[in-house]
Amino acid sequence: MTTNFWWLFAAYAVVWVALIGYAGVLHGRLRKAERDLEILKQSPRS
Amino acid sequence: MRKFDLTLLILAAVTLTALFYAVFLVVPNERTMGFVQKIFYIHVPCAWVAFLAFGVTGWKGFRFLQTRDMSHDISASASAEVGLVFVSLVLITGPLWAKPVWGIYWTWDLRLTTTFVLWLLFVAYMVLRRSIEDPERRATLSAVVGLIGFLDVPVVYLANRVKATQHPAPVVGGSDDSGLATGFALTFTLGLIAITLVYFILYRLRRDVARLEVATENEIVDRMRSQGASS
Repeated sequence: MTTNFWWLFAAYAVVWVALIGYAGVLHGRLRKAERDLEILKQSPRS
Repeated sequence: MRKFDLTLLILAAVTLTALFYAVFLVVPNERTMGFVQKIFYIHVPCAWVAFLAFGVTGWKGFRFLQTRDMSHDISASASAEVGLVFVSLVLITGPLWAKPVWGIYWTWDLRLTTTFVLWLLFVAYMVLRRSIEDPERRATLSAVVGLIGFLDVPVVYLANRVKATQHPAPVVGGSDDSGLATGFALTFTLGLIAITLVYFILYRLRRDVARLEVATENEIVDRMRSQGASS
């Protein structure tokens, strides 16, 4: 059981690090896209 | 945050907590593989969600080709990206399970190879989207590639039902003597629900990002057109 623990730990760790990391990246992209659109809409049309 | 997204988030948090509790504290170790078999409760749900995601991509691509409505293209691309994350996790957790059980990380078995082909098809889908600037052309070609990619899903599903070599024959939905004991089946179902909820959260988030990016793109095009008309 102890020898196999690290394989199990690695599999679960990879999944959660990847999913949480991806959610974080998406959240950052969402904030940036909202900000960009807001700045664009506020800037006067030349 | 919208009420529906908050509900999804709470449901996902509850089911994930229940899944961890069941996997590590309730469900017993499997007789032959022991402790490491618990990778099953995360590996198979990730595969199921990848199938679901590529199903959504195929369906939304088909709807785009029918209607030319760009909102279908946005949904298809959002689902493809999230699906690619999940199929990548399948290709990582699989070898982490295979090494202690089979003694090798990888072999070109039919199920493994078709899954790898599925991954390649959706990598191609993402590369294609980044290489075409014209939105209409990008959406049309992506829909076609998305549909071709989706055709690999039943091939992956059937691969170890038709020819099981290294990857074991299915324990769920397989032959008459396949199946899971109640405790294992309940934990597995919990895993499917939890990971499906995570998929929907990520899909909706990715779709919101794409909608905003398209709105920004449209605003820029609109401004360029009005600038051109006035000069």
